[in-house]
Amino acid sequence: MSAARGRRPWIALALLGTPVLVAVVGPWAAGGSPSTQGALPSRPPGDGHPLGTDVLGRDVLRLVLHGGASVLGSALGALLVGAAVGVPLGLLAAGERRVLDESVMRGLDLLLAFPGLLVLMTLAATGHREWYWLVAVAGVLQVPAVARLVRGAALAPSARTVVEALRMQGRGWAYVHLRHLARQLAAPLATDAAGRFSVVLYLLASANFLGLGLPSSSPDWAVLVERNSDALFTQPAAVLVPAGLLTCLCVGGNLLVDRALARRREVRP
Amino acid sequence: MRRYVLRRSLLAVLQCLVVLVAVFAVGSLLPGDTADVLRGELGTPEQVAALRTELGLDEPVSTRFVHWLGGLFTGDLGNSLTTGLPVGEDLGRRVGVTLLLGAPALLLVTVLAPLAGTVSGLREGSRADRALNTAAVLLHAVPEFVLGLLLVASVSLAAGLLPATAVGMDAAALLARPAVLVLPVAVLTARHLCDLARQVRAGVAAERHGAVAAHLRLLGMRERTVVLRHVLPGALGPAAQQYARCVEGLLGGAVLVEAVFGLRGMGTGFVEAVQNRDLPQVQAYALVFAGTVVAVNLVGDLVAHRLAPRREVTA
Repeated sequence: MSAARGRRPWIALALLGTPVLVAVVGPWAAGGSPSTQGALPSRPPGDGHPLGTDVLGRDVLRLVLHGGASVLGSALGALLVGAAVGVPLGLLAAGERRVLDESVMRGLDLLLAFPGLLVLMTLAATGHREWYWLVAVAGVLQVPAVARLVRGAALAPSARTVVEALRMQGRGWAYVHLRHLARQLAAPLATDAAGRFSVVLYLLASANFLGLGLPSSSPDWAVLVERNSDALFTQPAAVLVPAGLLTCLCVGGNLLVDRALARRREVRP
Repeated sequence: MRRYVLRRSLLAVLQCLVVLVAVFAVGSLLPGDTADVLRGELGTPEQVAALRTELGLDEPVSTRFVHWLGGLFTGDLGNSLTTGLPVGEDLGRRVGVTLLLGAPALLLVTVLAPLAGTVSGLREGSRADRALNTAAVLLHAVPEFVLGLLLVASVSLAAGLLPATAVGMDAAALLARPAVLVLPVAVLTARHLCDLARQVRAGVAAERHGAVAAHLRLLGMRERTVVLRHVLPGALGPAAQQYARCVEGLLGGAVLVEAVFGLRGMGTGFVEAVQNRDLPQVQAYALVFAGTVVAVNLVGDLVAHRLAPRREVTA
């Protein structure tokens, strides 16, 4: 078991690092616009196109290099939105006023009635299908969970005693919330964000695969998979390469989170 | 117990209300309402105004909402904008395919997850335990469409074993050729099976080493009784909540799986309605999906509370 654990970080880092590297460095490395057409559509790898061409006759390698930025960027953006709304709400609920606590938490409970994909689909049906809508709504959908986590961590007995002591020393609201609680919340929030990354990634990739978000000409990996899935038999590389990169991103991230959680459990039995 | 049931049921009722208002708003309050959608095809402002009157969109919001609710309870959800048929008809035609996909998946999850979770929880560190853990970590975040296409590429195209698509098949045709369903059901099941099994496993492992189990053993209770009477109920409580979420996940997964395999179920119906901006149709699907989620989560929470009452569980 421990031997497997010991080997895992490299596997996890490699799995996560490959798609991240492609997403971050890809656009510079590929250069030019991803949408140059002109070659024959759905050609297998060969002559000038190392990964072949897609259904529109675009170079798959160049598309893949350009398509990671939106995958990674939108997932990180949604996480930021979730944290930006969820953390203040959680702190608000953890404050002294019980009425606020009840109303915030019960209000967020109501949000849980909406499954993510359903909300994104309904939103697309009303014509809101720009990328920022997708990112904002995917982020807002994370708010109940983030707020609950923050509230729980801020209300934890140890946190409360220190907060009371700081208050009695005459420290102001800003000191308590921005210096003390921020430090207290950093670790649980980071672990949660890492796990939440895969949730958001799943949601956004699924929405893009269903054609709810980015336009069908976008080089986004999920869109590429959707566009080329009909040509899976003739040009598998156009589907399997972006699908493989998405898988690596999900699995790599998950392995790292799993390791982090396991280590925390070992530290505090 | 009774207080919890009341509070949780009240929450479900409120959730239903929010869903109703939100779905109603989609069709008639947000920019991009039904008349706006049709404007593109109709042109002149006079025609749009006439259409608004015809659809009742110029009446006060409250009147429209009451009217819409009334229609809902008599089963009249309006007509599809693309086909002109009542939206219920389209739903009815598609529900069979989705049930053929979802019911076996749900059955597999229900039977296999507690089984696999218990076995690996009782034998921590065994080969089966490690296999389950690895599979759960691998599958947890991979979207169904990626998994589906990878399976189609390897099993259907490379190995030539199972049919790759089921384009245009209705429920009767699917029943006649169940082999078509193997891959879609497998894809739909895999993720949730692993997630739930892992949850059960964690619960079993924690309860088994807990103070209560140790005390029962000290009292001379047989291990089998400890597991059956104490460890399992304690582990299945939280798992019941996770199980409810898993039904919700299966609904979303069905949308993706149907899209990958070309099945004509409710998921593809929903996606088509969205692409056509067929709002009455979208409203009907949204109501069915959200209503199911609210109901399933309510049942999941109540069962979880019954099995492990000490846990303060909401939603």
